[in-house]
Amino acid sequence: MIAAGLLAEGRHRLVLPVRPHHNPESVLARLAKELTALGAHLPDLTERVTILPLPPIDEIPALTSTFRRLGVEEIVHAAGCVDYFHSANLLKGNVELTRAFVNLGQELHTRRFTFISTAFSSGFHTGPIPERLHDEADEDPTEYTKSKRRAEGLVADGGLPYLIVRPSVVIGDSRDGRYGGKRYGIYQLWYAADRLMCTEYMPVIYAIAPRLSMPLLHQDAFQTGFLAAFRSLPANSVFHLVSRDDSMPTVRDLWDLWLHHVARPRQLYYFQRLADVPLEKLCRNQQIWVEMTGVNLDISSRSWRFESGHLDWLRRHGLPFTDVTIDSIQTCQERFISDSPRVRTFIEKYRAERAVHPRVIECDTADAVA
Amino acid sequence: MDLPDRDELLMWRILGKLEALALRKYESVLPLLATPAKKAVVDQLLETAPDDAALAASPLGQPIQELLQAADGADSTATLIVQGMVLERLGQIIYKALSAQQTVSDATRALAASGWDACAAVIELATQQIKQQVGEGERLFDAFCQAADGVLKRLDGLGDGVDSLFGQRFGLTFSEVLGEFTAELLPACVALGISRRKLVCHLAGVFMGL
Repeated sequence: MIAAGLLAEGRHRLVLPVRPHHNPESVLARLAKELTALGAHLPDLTERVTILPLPPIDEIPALTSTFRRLGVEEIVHAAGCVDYFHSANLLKGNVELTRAFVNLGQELHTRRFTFISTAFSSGFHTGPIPERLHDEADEDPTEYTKSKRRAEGLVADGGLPYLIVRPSVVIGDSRDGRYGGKRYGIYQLWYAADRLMCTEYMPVIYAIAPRLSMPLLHQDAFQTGFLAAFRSLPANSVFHLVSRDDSMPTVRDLWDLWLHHVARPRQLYYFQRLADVPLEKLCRNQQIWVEMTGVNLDISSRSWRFESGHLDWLRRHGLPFTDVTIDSIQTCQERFISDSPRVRTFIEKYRAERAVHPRVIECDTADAVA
Repeated sequence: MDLPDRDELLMWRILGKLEALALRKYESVLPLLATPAKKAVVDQLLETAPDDAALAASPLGQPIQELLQAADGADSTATLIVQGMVLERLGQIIYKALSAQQTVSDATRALAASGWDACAAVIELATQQIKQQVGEGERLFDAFCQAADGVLKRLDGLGDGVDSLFGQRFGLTFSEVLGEFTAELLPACVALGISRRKLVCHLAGVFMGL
């Protein structure tokens, strides 16, 4: 998304070090696809893009001469590890890799170092989360957020002018639902429903669906927001790239959308917390579904209020930015369904069973389940 | 029904390939897990379903091949975790489902019973060995992620093939296998000191995500 956006602007030449499981052809094909989807003029990508294998972290200093020869002027560091708790991978993928690229930037005297962090790098926080570097947190939702906070510190201490971009959870394009990212956030929830809940019709479904907002961000808003910040924000900015709170759907809205449109059980038990669900009463695949979606929604168990001074300023100065709404999530969900043979088969096969209006049972505790 | 039919033989072949790899790994790096019962099950599977033709022509040919490659780690810790902790449990789930099926042959039900017993014995031995060799809690969690992710990610590739080939015939759907498997694996890992929340979160990412 970032590379395609920069290419679409027409001014930049890119050097892309990519991990070994990618090859130049696949990277160029993805870029071309994204540029076409953006309706952008398709440049001669071989002229504008140089693709290199990303070496192991300890060999990254050896990129210095190549980058110098290629005239690298600034670094946008968007690689990382999104494993929530795998400490070793997080240390390597978020902390050590960032350190290596910051060092590379120092060697090259780049004019700026841009780092893609996360909106949740504050850890759990009371009150509005500021657009500045965070102190250590008392509690983090995951080790991932902690590792990103550490990486931000390395960037800020690196002595180069920096831009730290903190997006919330990225979902598909607001216009057509297409999604080019890895399967996490609500895509993991939908995929779990695809794999575990769409083999047979389930007349009774249990779900954790608190009325707390999910901090989501459309990928087109991510792209336009990133590009605007990249062009306009002063050195040493920290930028919250997030949708407006007031339009943001809740976890409950999200499950309503899936369970009323796709699964359509006869009875739907809604819980506030994983701890309230009587797991022992559920069949095993539903147990696992509830537990896996529950931990995934942990991040929405607290309120996240992000200061958005930079984004507000950019919007006032003409940035087109689409906030997430329940309708725009429906667009993404419909795209997911149309791309999933399993869900489409489920919908068709169980048309008769699904011709019900689910009866919703609100459960505050496990005792509420008969 | 006394003899396995074509569908059953396909299942025997899949189990045979997985079990034979496990046995080979045990014999090379963890001989105490290469139990006589496991050897007997492998012999029976390979004698009854000796060739790959039907498997290779099925939707499971490629995903099983990828799973076997991912499970072919070299060292004893990887073998302990991938085979002794993960794939033995997956085997148990399949054997359990087969042994409860009234529509399969006596031979398959008998194999399933002995296969389940052999898996149970190896799991017990592997668990003791994991405690001694790898440790518990965070250390084990890190080792588990390191060793098992490649295999767990490949399981997703079996989904459509399992449903289309075995869903109707054996009442064995991928969602049920995954549910049963995870439900067995979680408490076993928690008993070894791994945080349930961390593990569930990690498994969600591995099975459903990245």
